[in-house]
Amino acid sequence: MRQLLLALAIGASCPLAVSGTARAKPAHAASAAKPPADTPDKLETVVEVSVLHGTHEQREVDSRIGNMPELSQGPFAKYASYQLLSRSQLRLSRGGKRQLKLPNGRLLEARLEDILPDGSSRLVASINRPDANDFLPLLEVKARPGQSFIVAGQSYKRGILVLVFKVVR
Amino acid sequence: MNADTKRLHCYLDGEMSRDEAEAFRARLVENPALCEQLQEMQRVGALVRGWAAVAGARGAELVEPTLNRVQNAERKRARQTTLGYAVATVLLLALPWSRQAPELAAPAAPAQAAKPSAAAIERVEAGDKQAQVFVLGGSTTPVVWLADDAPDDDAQEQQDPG
Repeated sequence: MRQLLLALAIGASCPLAVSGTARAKPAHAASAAKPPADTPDKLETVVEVSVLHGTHEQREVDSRIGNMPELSQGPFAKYASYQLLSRSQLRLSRGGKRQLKLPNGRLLEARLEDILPDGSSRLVASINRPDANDFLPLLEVKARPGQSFIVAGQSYKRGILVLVFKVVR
Repeated sequence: MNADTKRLHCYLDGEMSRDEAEAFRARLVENPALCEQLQEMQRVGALVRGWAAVAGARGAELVEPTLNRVQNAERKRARQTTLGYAVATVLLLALPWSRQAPELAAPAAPAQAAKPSAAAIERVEAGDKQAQVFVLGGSTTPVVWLADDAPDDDAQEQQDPG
């Protein structure tokens, strides 16, 4: 058994040694030592909120929406067309919050909870009528710049509202 | 041990010459007590020989499996050693490929390596509403879909314009 362990140890140690060498290559050493370029000690995040209106009207999909394949799938496909109602950028500082009034009278409140070491933002959002918890009391999301998430389902003018959140930076 | 007992032992062990043995046998005929002592010693001797035979057979029963176990253990150890060296050889042969493995040759920046493929919905509190979180095919964007039972203001207005 001792010989078996010795033989295994010899074999196992060799790849480890090589992988260590590969990681220590000078070409990569500098980039590994530096913090990621997109994870500075930033204190704020910018979130773009697009408010879409899905209806059963036979219209073209608003070209300003851009490429959103989701709108032709799943429950989104029940609506014939989508129009862009508004597009806003919310600049959120750590711990700070911003509000955006939605077309249906509800209030979207977004707060930057934290910026994580990997550069992603932890966002907290809620959608309510003022001083009430009537729709979405709490949504907590972790997203990196460039990533999106969608909140949909609110009734509005014989259709629905689709809120597309995108972390810009 | 008296002289007769010593002679008995010598007789039983075959240590007497032919003449001595002949003289001792004549003495046995004349001395029934000595003869009886001889017979007793012969019985004990027979018992001892019988026990020794049984013990020998039993010993053989024990020794053989033990030897077999030792041999099996040696063969097993040899196989394990061979296996160990075979694994070590495979690992050594795999070194050239491991050097060329992309994740080793060009390690990604830590942030890139840790980058999740999509935003992560970590918590949803929808009150008494039914909330669904899903990702549609071909997309990585998470969707939070809530059933809205609030009255549609516009629809109400159209139904009840006044």
